Amino acid sequence: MLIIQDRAIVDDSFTHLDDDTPIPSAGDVTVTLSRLQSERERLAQHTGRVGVRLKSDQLPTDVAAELPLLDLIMVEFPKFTDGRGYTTGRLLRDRYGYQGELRAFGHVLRDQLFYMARCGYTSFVMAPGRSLESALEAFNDFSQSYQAAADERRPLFRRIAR
Amino acid sequence: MAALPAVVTANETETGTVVYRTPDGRLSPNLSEAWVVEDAERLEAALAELQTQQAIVCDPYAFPVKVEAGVPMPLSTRERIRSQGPTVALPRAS
Amino acid sequence: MYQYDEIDQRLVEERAAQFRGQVARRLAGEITEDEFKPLRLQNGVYMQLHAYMLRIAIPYGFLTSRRLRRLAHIARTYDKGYGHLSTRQNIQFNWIKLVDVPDILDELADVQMHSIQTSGNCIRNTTADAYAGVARDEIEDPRPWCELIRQWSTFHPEFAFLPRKFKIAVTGAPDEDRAAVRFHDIGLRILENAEGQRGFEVIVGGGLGRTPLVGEVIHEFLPQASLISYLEAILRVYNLFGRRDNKFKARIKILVDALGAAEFKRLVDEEWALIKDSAIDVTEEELERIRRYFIPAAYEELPSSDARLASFSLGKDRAFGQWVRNNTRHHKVPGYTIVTIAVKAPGQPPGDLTHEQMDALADLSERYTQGRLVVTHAQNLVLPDVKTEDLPALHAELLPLGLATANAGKLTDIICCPGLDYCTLANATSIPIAEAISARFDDVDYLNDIGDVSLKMSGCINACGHHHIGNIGVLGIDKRGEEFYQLMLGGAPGNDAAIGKILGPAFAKHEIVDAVDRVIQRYLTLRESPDEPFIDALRRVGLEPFKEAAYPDAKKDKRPAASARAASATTVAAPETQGT
Repeated sequence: MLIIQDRAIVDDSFTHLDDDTPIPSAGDVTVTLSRLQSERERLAQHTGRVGVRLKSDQLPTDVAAELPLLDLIMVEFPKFTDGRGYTTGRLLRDRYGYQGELRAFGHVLRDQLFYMARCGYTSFVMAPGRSLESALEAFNDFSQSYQAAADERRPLFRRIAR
Repeated sequence: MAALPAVVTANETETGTVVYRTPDGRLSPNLSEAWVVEDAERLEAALAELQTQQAIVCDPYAFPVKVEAGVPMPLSTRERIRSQGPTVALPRAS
Repeated sequence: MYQYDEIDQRLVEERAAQFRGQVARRLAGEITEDEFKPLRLQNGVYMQLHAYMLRIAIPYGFLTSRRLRRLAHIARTYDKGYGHLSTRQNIQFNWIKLVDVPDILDELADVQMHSIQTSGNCIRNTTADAYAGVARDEIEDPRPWCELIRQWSTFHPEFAFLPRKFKIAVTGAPDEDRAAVRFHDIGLRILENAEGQRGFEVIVGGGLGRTPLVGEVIHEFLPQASLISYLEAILRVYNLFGRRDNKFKARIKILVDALGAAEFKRLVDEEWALIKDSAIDVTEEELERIRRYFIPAAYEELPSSDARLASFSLGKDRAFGQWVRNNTRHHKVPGYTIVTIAVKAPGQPPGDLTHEQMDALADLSERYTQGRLVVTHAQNLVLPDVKTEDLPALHAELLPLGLATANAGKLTDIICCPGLDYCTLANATSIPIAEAISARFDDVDYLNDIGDVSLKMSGCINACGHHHIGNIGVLGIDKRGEEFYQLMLGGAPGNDAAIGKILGPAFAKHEIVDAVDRVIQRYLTLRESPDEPFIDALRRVGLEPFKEAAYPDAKKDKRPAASARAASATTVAAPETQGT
C-alpha cells in the first residue's frame, strides 16, 4: 500500500497484524497496544522492525515504557474531527523524546496534514480514495507558524526578530 | 423521513440558495414550483438521488407540507420563513 | 492598534489561498459536505436558513475606519447591504455566496482582517472589555494579551480539532467585568497584588448554552509571563479528556463540572509543571513589541471635562442630554469621553448596520475619534476617544444616520441572536420580539425612569443571545410548531455573575411583550427608590412578586414543580425540535 512518508509517496513496508494473526518470523510488523504489552518478549526478539497501533483514546503514557522497542507508532484518527492524536503526537515527541516514525492513519485527509506534521507526524496513511499527490501540496499551505510545536520548539518571536 | 405529503429541499452548494425539487427533476428557488411527494418510496428515491449530487446541493432533506389552492405550504414556521425570507424588514439606509 | 508585519500579512494571505483551494475542491466534488463543513467553519462560513453566513473576526472588537469601510464594501458588493454585530465582537454577513468567500478573504487580508477560527471546534476570537485602553477603572490594557493569544491560537496545530468550540475573554478592569469572563471557556482577569505585581485570575468552565454554568477560578494569581504555558496546559487537558461522544456534553465546562474544579486544576497544574518556564512563554521583548501598537495616539492636553459632561446631560436640548446621560462614559484622559453608539434603533434588528451607516461611521470616527471604533459584546459600537467638547456636533451628525438612540444600558438596548429569521438552529424568532419590545418602550424618559436593566434574548437553547445572563432573559422555544417564549429573571454577566431563573410556563408570541411589561410595572411599584436598579430590587424581594405579575391569572400555590426547577435552573427544558 502507498503511504506518504517524509513528504514522499512510498510503499508501506509494514504488515499490520490483528490480534489473532501469528507474528511472522521476519519482516516489519505492527500490533495493537494490548498485544505489544502481552507479547513484549517475543516482539523484542523480532528480526524485523516493530510498530504499535494506538487508538485515539490511548495515551502516550500507555506506550512510554515501550519506546525503545518501537520503530513506528501509528495513531488512529477514527474521524478527522477527533483531535486527540495531535496531543498524542506532541507528547510522544516533546515529552517522551520519541525519535522514530510517527504515522497517522484512519480518516486522514489532506487538510489535516499541515497540523499533523507540526505535531510530529512523519508519515500518513490517507483515507481511501484520496489523491496522495494532491495531499503532498498541503505541507506548504503556510510558510510560517506563530507557535512552538513538535517540529519547531521555539515560537516565532524566539526565531525571528520581529 | 418527513410526514407526507412532503417537499424535497436543499441549499445550492455554490451559492447557498434555498432550492426545491420540481416534478421534472429541476431545482427551483420557488416553493410554488416544488414537487409535492405523496408516497414514501418516491420521496426516499428523490432524496437519495440528490444525496449523490453533493457538489451541486448540500444536505438535502424533506419537510411536510399541506397543499392549499394547488400550492405547497410548509407546516413548520422554520420552513415557512426559509421559503419566504426573514419575517422582519431587512435593514435599509434611513 | 496592532499592525501586521510581513509574516502576519503572509499568513492571512496564505489562509485565503488555502480556502480558495478548498472551495474549488468542494465544488469539484473532491470533498464531501461532511468533510468540508469543519474547513468552512474554521473560516467562519456557516450554512444558515437562507444562505451561507460569513463571520469575520474583529480581534478583541477593535476596528479602524479603513477596516469598517472595507466591511461596508463587502456588505454592498457581496451581501444585501448590511451586516450584523455579534455578541463576541465579530461581524456577520447573512447572504454570502460560497464562491465569493475566497475573494472576500482577499479583500479582508488587504486591510489586515480575516475570518480565521471564527467558528469550528477550535480557539475562537479572543474578546475583551470594550473600553479597553480608555477606561478609568482599568489597571492594564488587556489588548496586548489578547493579541498575544490571537497569535498563539492562530493555526495552533494541536488545538484545531478540540472536542468543541473554545472561547477566551480578557478584562483589565477588576471592579467591573464588561467582558463576561465568568461565562467563557477561559476568562482572564488582570489583577494587581499588594506588591504591585500583575497577574491573571484564571477562570475556566463558564458558559451558557443548554448547560449554563458560572466559571470556576483555578488560578488566583497566575504570573503574567506564564500565560501561554498555562493556557496550553488547560487546552491540552481539555483536548485529551473532554468528551467527544456527545456534542452537547463536549464543552470544557462539562469536564470541569464532572471532575470538580479542584481535580481539573490538579490535572492542569500537573501538565503545566512540565511546560512552564519553557520556550513557549512570551519574552519581555515580544510583549513590548506588541504593546507598542497599543500606546494611545496623541491626546491633547485638556482640562477635566467631567463637569461639562454633567452639564451636557442636563442641558436644554433634551434629546442630546439624554443621549449624553445614557451613552457616554468618563474617559481616563481628561477632556475626552467614551461614546456608545447604540445599534438598537426602534424597529431595527439589534446590532444590524447598513453599509451606508458603516461608511458614515468610518467618516465620523476619523473626524471625532482618531479613526478608532470598538464592537461591544452588547452588539453596539464604541467611539473610544471623543473630545467632550465635540459631543454636540457628533450627536447632531449621528441623528440623521439613525445612530443616536439614547438607550445604552437601558431596557431596549437588547442583546438578541438572529433567531429563526436567519438561523438554522433556532426554534423561534427573536428579532420581531426585540422590535416589539423596543416599540413598546419607545420613550427615553420612561426608559430612564426604569433605569439600568439588561434584556437578552435567544431563539434557542444554544443561547447566542445570552438570555441566561440578562436581568431579564427571553428564550424562544417550539411547542408543537408554535413559537413560545420563556421568561427568566436575575441573570447578570459581570462581577455579580448569576444565571437567571425561569419564572414559569412559557408565553405565546402575542403574550410575551405584555409579560415583560407587567414585570417592569411590578418593579416600578416595588422598588425602594428610583435609585434601586431592577436587579437589586429583584435580589431583595425574590422572584415571587414578579411571578405574580407575570401570571396574573395563575392560582396561587400551584406549580410547586415548576418553581423547584426554576430554583435550580441549571438546565433549561429541552425544546421539542432541534435543528442540525
